[in-house]
Amino acid sequence: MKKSFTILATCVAVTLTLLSPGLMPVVVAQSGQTQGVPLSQVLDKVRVQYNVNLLFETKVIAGKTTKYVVPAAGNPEQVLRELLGPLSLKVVKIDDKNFAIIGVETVVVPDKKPVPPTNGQVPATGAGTGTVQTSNGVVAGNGLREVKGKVLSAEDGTPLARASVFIKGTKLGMVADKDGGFSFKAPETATTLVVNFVGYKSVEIPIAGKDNIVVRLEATVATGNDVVVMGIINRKKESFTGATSTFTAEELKVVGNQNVIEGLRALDPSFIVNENNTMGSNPNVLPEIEIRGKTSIDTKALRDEFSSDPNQPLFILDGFETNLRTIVDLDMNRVESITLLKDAASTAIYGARAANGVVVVETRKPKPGAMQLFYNGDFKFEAPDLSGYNLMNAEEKLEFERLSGRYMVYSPTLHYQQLELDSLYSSRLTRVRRGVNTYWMNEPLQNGYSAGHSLRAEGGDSKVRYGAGMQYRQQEGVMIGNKRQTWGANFDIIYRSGKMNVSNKMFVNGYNANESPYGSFSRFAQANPYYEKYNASGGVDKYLEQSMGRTLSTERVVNPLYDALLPKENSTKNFAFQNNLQLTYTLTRDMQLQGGVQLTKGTNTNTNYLPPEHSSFDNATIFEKGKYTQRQWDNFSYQTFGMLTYGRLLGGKHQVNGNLRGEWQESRNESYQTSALGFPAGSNGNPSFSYGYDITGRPAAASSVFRRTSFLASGSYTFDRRFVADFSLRMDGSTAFGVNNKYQPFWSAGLAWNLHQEPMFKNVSWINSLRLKANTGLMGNQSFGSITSVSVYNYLSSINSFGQGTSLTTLGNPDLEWQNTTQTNIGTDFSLFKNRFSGFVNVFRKYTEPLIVAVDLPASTGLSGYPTNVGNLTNDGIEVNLRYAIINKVDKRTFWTVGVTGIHQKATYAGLNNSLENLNKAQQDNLSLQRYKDGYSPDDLWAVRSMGIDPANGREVFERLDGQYTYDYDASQVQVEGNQRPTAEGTFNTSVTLKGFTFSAFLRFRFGGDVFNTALYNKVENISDANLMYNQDRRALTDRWKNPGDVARYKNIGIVGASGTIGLSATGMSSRFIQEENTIAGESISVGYDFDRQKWIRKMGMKTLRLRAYMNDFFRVSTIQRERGIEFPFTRSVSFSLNTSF
Amino acid sequence: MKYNNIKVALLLATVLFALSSCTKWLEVQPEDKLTEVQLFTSEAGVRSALNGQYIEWAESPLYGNQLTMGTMEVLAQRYNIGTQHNRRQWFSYNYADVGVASTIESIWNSAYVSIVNINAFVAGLDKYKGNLAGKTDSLFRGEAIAMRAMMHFDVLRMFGPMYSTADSVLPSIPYYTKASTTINPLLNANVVMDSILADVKSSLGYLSNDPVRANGPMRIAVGDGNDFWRNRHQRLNYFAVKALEARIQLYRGNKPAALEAANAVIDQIGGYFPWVTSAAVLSNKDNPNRVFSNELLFGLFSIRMYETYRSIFAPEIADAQILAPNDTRLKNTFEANENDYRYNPSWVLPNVGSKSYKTFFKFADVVRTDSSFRYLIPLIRKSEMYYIAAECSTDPVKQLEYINTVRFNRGLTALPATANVTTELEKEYGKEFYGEGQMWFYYKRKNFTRILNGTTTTTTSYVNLSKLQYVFPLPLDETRFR
Repeated sequence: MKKSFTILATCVAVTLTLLSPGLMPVVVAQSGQTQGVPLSQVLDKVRVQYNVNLLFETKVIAGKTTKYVVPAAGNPEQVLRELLGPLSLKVVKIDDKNFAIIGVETVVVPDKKPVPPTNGQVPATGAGTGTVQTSNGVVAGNGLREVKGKVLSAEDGTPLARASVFIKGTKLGMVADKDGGFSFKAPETATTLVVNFVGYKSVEIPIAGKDNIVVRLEATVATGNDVVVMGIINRKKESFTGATSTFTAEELKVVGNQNVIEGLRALDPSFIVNENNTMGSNPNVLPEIEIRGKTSIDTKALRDEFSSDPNQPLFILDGFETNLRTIVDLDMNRVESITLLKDAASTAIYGARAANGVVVVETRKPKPGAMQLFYNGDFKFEAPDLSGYNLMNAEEKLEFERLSGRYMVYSPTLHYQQLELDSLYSSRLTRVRRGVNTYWMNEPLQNGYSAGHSLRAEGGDSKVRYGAGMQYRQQEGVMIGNKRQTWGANFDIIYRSGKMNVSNKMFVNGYNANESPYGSFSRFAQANPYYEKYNASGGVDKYLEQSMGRTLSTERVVNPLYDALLPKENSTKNFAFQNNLQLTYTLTRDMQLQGGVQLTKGTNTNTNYLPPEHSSFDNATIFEKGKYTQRQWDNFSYQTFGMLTYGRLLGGKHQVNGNLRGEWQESRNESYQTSALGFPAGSNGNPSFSYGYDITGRPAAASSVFRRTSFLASGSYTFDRRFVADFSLRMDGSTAFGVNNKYQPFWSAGLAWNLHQEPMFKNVSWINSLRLKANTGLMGNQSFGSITSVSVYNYLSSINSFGQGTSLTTLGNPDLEWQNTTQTNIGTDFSLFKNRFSGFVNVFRKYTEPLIVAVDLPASTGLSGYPTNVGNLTNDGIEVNLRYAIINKVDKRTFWTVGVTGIHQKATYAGLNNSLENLNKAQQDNLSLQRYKDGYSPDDLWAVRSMGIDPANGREVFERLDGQYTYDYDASQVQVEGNQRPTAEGTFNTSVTLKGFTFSAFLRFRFGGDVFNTALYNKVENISDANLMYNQDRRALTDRWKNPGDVARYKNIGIVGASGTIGLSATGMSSRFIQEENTIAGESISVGYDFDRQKWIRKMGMKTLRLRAYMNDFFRVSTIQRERGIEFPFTRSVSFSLNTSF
Repeated sequence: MKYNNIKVALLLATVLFALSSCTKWLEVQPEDKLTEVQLFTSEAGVRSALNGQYIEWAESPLYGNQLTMGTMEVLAQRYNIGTQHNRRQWFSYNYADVGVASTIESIWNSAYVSIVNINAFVAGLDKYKGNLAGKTDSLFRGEAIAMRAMMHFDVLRMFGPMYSTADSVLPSIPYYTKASTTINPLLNANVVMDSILADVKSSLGYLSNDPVRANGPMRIAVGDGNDFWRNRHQRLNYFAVKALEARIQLYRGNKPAALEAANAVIDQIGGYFPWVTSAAVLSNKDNPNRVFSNELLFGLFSIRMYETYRSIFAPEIADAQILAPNDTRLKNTFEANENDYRYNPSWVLPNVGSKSYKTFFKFADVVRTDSSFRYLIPLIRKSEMYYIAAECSTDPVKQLEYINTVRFNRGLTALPATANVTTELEKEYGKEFYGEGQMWFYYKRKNFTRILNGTTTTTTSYVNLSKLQYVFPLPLDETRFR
């Protein structure tokens, strides 16, 4: 009984707080009572003794005492009046068993839509002595009606005992009984019920004309914008200070139907997918993802075989860590929601792994009911986008060669060889004149097609629910033979009984990935157009031509088609099994205990075979032609956790939440690789046909065991729904931290202010919600392999008469500190003008100190790539997401919104103090444009400043650091000539909904970012004898300096490295090749129609039917011309999806 | 009920915390590698760490090839390297060539990686003291310090100045005695020499109880668990270090000290390192002991030796890749004396590969795979002590006596009393150390301004040598970070 009272009081308080703009204290209560028993105790007594319900706000009785002695028998109303009268409290009789207590001095202003008095009496303000008033000013006593019904869980229909049911704007109502039932008298004027239950969304139900009201409450743990799913812990958005974005499967599917990555990229400004200029749109290559920029200097030297990109976010699938491959291959139809955790408050619960943000994916939970079948079909057609290529045709290429001096002997003393060169030229010219102008780039390409099917069944009752699904998808990339098949099957079951909830998710999946036998696309992009693909008899020769080079050496040009048509293999097979078991036990109403175990097992096999005929073996001995390599990789891991959650509203205004959690994870990785070398000609690649093992090749094997454990305490406190404070503290223990330093603490703290809950804004009609929030915290980065503070030795491959030997692989750095990132976020999210204008703005700083850098020391120290702590990196940025609904007609299901998202970031090094000068020297030697210097950004492009080409002589003029002009390129004279990071990047988006029809479009803009145009550097200039054998950029012929006086962008035509007049010195990396690239790209357009309301759907036995068509990456406008997709082209795609249920 | 809840909560919280802090669980020992602790807390681990460096020394960038049979001998014009030969750039001392520079870099890097390993080893012995018996600890330490000295010495011989000139005070190489990130300065060559000798001295102290002094090298492994202290000639034992001291002192020009050390070796080794017999070399056609293993004070066991042989000396190798001398030059070197143990067994006109000249068989495999001398790369020979003694002795009679002792044991007749010791020593070095890398340093030590050209048969065609040829440039990996 006592418990139900507390709940009731809580609910009343909640309801009242919702109404609080209407509450205006007129008189301050002054109770003269100083002695006696607390009123609450006396009221308890009344309640028990007379078996009545008492409804009141806790604050009206707070601190009040009385000496009143409750009579053993009597009229409860009379007793209450006697008891409460002297305490300036009024009793309102609702019915025989229900009484409400209100403060006399609390005057309630009528609701904004005043209910017309039914009895003609003018509602009085202030409490008249003889009149009983309800808080909305309706006079009780007559016109009461019965309100009754049931409160059920929308999810599974279980009754929700103790849900609170109130007439909106009043304190009238009750708490549902154990069957979820409620029944009480309410004024006939009452129009709306408010139903609340902890853990469920509050709903308002119109009651007019309804006798039996069935209320279905949706659990807040399901998705929804007011709850933040953090994988570990779910928190109400209103009591949370972190910066997060949540997207439902529906929202993601509006962007594209292939994977969730493209959706996240379009929807959130901080989720950046870096363009992979080398691998283009190869479906077998993983995207490089960052959230809010980079925190690490990516030095491969520090990563072991099993570690991941140290700038990649952490991925959590159903509460457990997973890898990027799983996320990319995840069937979108299984996704319930995805949440991006971007700042300290949201990611700190992931501690040591969270410095780069977290992507939390929740898969669908089966819904109860009769069995339902869902089918999703996703189809995609894609075509290569070669718009970046600007290659010469046969005529141009030959002319370019002639101008370069390809057909002139390099020394006059060899004039007798000129004849052969002349005849070579004329034979090529004849071919060109004959009309040979071969287009090679189409050879390896096709139109890609992919089809995905996903079938799902679910159902169950309030106790047991099940879901089962199968997915299969076949993708064919735009390069012939490039393939990817993914498949998966899952079985989910949820069992609920009393206080126990058991849920198990099993998932088996795998893929087969094949790379194109055509190899790198660049081989076709560089093939000369004056060669014919096929010989006279229609066959493919290995060599297109064997001719005498300019330096009289033999030049053999391999036909790329020959290599492509050989039998070869480059395939990966993957199989993975995953089982998540989760138990939830409700200890008390406020406290829950959870536990979970996940098991994962995966096997991945990569097979690579190059036949002996392949041109890469041309110079190998006969027993070394052909190579077969197989690598197998096994992974087993388990993760387990236990968690205690507590949540309670104290004293009406103090909402307290807390979590304690312990986690353990072990991950074992093993890899094994063998190579067979030497195959007979015509071999099919079966390793048993090989001549033997690679001479130097022992089988390569690696294994690692990684364990981590963590303990987390997190909590939040909300005062009056207005002020929020939250914190989390996490101790992370990991084998990666080294022996002497197993544990690392991580923390976060944040504050938020819900302005819309402030009394002064409650009346402001155009503010629907407005929150300010700020948080800061410390996060770690574990993706550095297992660098330890102790020295690590490895067994040597050789032995001697004394047996085995070991040698240092890593000299321990006992002073090495872990790379930690302090994140700070200040932001606001808002919804204004009847929710028409909404969005968020966040300003953030990520401060990483110290960085871990692999520093190269003089070779005599015996150490190279030695991990060292040095300097710090600050990444400042601002992210914006704004939406405006131009048309917002909920009732007509008609919406039109426009939106913009964007991010601006700037990263700066500091504290390096020239300690990385040797790295800078190495960068200079390696022709890299990056430098490590205080005050500069990792994205800065360093190059020698070019003043252009001297029209007088065609030579490049450089500006030295001291401002002097020179013809001499000096690599030490570099300065910042650009920055790769765009000034701003984001999308413009719009969406239209008109009844069942939906349309949406996302345009990506990216401006202010500079790129080093490699096509200009390698294919317009810097063409050596070897490069002259390949096709080049057309600008090499047209845009280069020819005669004195020409104002040209590029040097005169010649051969780099040749002697004499045609000789050119190699062009250095100067600012001439750094160009600002501004782009606008059509990321996604989609049109969909929802046939749900069409009758013919039912006739066909379907419950729902939805069709959607997409165009992705359908156009791209750039301010510069550069080659994109070097080894695999980028694509444009059209896709369709069909969703239906039976 | 409420109290119960609190109790449950507290209990759970405690359990959670206790479990999450199980520190032991986080102590994962890697399976495919070893941590320092694992290594240094067992004698087997310590052995493998020390032995690891002997194994690394026997690899190609160091004594397995470049510092012995390969590069050093090419530089000494020992092989016929024509214009088309893949070692031509080495042969013409073109240290700026990309290929040459990368080999120089790999020699330098491997040498110093070995040094950092040795230093980490010595530091490990200190850090994990008490895991080894005092006597063994001292032997391990002695060997490691000697290895450090020897490696630095050979780096100095390659990258240091021509020592016996005024250049001996020029900055040369850094000397490292600690594994750390501290960048040591380039020291003057004489200072490096001081450090080397100091290490040799301290090593001799630690090795004073070396079992080799009491029992000889014990060339048979018996499998009783103590084999690590047998085959002492395959690691730096007391005599080897003493011999090394003689070699270093001579390079430094301190002849009395060199003589003393050489004599100490000659006197103390007794019968443990007997001269090779003609039966072992000449008569035993299938299994000739061409490296004279019994005489080796120090030789490295290189499991890849025959692989190396097949890749550079085997008769099947093309002319442009094989390392083989001009036949006439070879004959001149050995004064056409077919009796010399060092000549006939090691130089054979092959019946495969259609070669018209003799190829080098010193490092070729033998028929009987149980021969104890297989895989041995000679590094310090007993005969060198006689040569050093001969060079340093002031008594002309004794000088000849030392040389004749060696000659006698090579199947040669004694030199007449009129013989020129210096000339004869040069000839002896030429014969004794073919494929062992010592000739080049001999020329450098003695400041030869010209040596016979390896490609010609005439005895009048020379290549000129100066410090441009004698001193390897420091590699880019070193200089760009300095």
